[in-house]
Amino acid sequence: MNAGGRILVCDDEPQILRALGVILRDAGFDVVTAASAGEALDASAVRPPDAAILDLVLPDGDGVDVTRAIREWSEMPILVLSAVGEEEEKIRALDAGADDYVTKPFGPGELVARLNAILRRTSGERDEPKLVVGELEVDFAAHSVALSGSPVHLTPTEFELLRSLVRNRGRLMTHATLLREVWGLAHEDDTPLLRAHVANLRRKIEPEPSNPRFVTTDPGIGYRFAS
Amino acid sequence: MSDHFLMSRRPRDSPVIGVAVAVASVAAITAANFALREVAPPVSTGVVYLLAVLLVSSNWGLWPGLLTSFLSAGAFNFFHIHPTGAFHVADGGNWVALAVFLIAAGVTSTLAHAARERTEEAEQRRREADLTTEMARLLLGGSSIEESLPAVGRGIADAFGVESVTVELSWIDSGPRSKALPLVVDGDRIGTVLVPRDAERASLDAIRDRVLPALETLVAAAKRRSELESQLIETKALRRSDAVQKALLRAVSHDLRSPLTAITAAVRGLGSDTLSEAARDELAAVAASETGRLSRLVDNLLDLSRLQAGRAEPRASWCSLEEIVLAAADAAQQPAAGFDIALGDELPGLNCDAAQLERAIANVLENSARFAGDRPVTVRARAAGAWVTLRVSDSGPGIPREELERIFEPFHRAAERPGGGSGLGLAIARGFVEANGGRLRAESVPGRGSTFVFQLPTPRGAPARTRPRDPAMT
Repeated sequence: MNAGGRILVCDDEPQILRALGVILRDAGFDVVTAASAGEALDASAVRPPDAAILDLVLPDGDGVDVTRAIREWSEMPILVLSAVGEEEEKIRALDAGADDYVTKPFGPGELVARLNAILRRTSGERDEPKLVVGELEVDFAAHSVALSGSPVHLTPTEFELLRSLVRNRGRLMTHATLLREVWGLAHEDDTPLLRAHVANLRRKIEPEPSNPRFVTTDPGIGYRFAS
Repeated sequence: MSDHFLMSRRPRDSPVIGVAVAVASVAAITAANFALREVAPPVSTGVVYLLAVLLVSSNWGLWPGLLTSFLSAGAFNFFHIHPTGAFHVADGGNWVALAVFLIAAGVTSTLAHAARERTEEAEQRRREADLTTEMARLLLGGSSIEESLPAVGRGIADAFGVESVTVELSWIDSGPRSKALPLVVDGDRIGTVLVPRDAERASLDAIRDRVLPALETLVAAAKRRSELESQLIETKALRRSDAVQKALLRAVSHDLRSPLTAITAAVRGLGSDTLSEAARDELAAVAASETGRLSRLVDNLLDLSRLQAGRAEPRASWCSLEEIVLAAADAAQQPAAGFDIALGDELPGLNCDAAQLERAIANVLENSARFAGDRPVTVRARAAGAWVTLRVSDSGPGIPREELERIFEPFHRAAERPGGGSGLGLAIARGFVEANGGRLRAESVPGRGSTFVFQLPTPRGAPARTRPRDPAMT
């Protein structure tokens, strides 16, 4: 399944642009291409796309700058293309508001799946009062959580963490972003604190805490709630 | 007087000349006074002799000055005191006048001499101060300590009027003709100053007491500075080699990964059942183009390692530049507006490795094509003397002055790299051109474009002109 829509693809390698164009069109998307950060910003300003795929290394800047600039006025889903050795840039892009990343080289299946996942996030982004994923039921209005029908008791911090993950489901949330959202700016670097609370949350809501289905880990980067 | 050495020996310092001047000036004044004897009384003209005393003692020292005093007294007596024409003095009052005159002359002479010595001492101190300044400039200025030591030695020798002074950073013993003065800083002997044994003792004492302390401090400072400098150079070199390795790794990984990413996407994309025929063709074209790029990269890396290992021996044979340029233009990726090649008819043949030269020219053409935008890349050639000059010009953004040489370093890339060159092409081009006895450099007017200039040697006896189908060509 895919949502269709217009996708902005920005990469300075013309042959990669060409291949991505064919693949995305085959998957049912419209494609706008850009070869530089400047072109990407121009194209997204002229007619905002439904999502953007950005290469991290561009001749006139990087994907982080483009992400930050787009985030000033748009919540469109952003997928960054990163390579081994660009971990730092990748995390910076995610912190700046990118939704997810795909590591080069990648197959079309992986790319389209990630793209669809982040597109679903924006379509379901409105504050729902209640969310049901499999056996897990989260009632935001009543501040209650149930697993397979039996109530689960969460501390206020755990509930805030779950709310942040669920509200951004499908999106890879970096450690720093989650810490900022739940604990505040002062705790941005306190990864052990986050890790401890994620472990507690998993023990309470995951049917199999050692093999989590809802809150998955991206080692060294962050967590995401399955979409 | 202990500072006597200070007087540098000017020629007119010779006491013989002093005596001659004393006699001559006394004679001249006597003659002048004799002419005036009718208008002025001798006692009043006698004072003029003091001029001679002043002149001689301030220029030739105390003893010639005193001699002048006695000569003047004698002449005064002989020619002016009654009875004239004899040293006999008739009047007792005249004896007093003569004695007063002699004492005045003696005092004048002594004072003039002392004034002269003070002037000379001041002069010498100034020379020593100049010497210290000069030594500081030499030792702490641009060049290395070892290079500046001979000049320091010459400076000391000149300032003290000794034959030669040698400054060494090693421990040298006194020899038969030279005396060694140690240079010591904080109890460590850091060097030696050699002075000739036959120099005046006073000069040697002055060098030891007044020059050595300054020299010791300066040499110690210079050594410390050069140590710091070499540490800095070492640190910079380490940092640079580290940066080069990182750049190399980044460049190779980027250059391998980009085509691999395109190929992976294209090839896996071909598995889709829903692709149109045109889309399928396009993905196949991507895969083909990027495999070509990968294979060129591998060729370049191999060429570079051959060149760097010195194993790119050219196999020289007679060939035509025109043919090589046309083949290179075929091999290189075309710029949007194409290559504009006009080489002229009168090019001599070359004796070189045609394959290497073709690679070199193709790499430069490809580089220019990447920066040319929508303007053509022009290729021109001209023969002059023993060289053929080939110029490849684009109207691209140009190359900043500080980059003109660095672009020939392996893995160096322009900040803006349209089409993403590997950063190897120009390094390889220069390597092949130089292996064939030629030169390759870049010229640029930033904002207006760049020109790559090949200079290729034409051997003596080269055929005047070769054509692609010239039978003389192999």
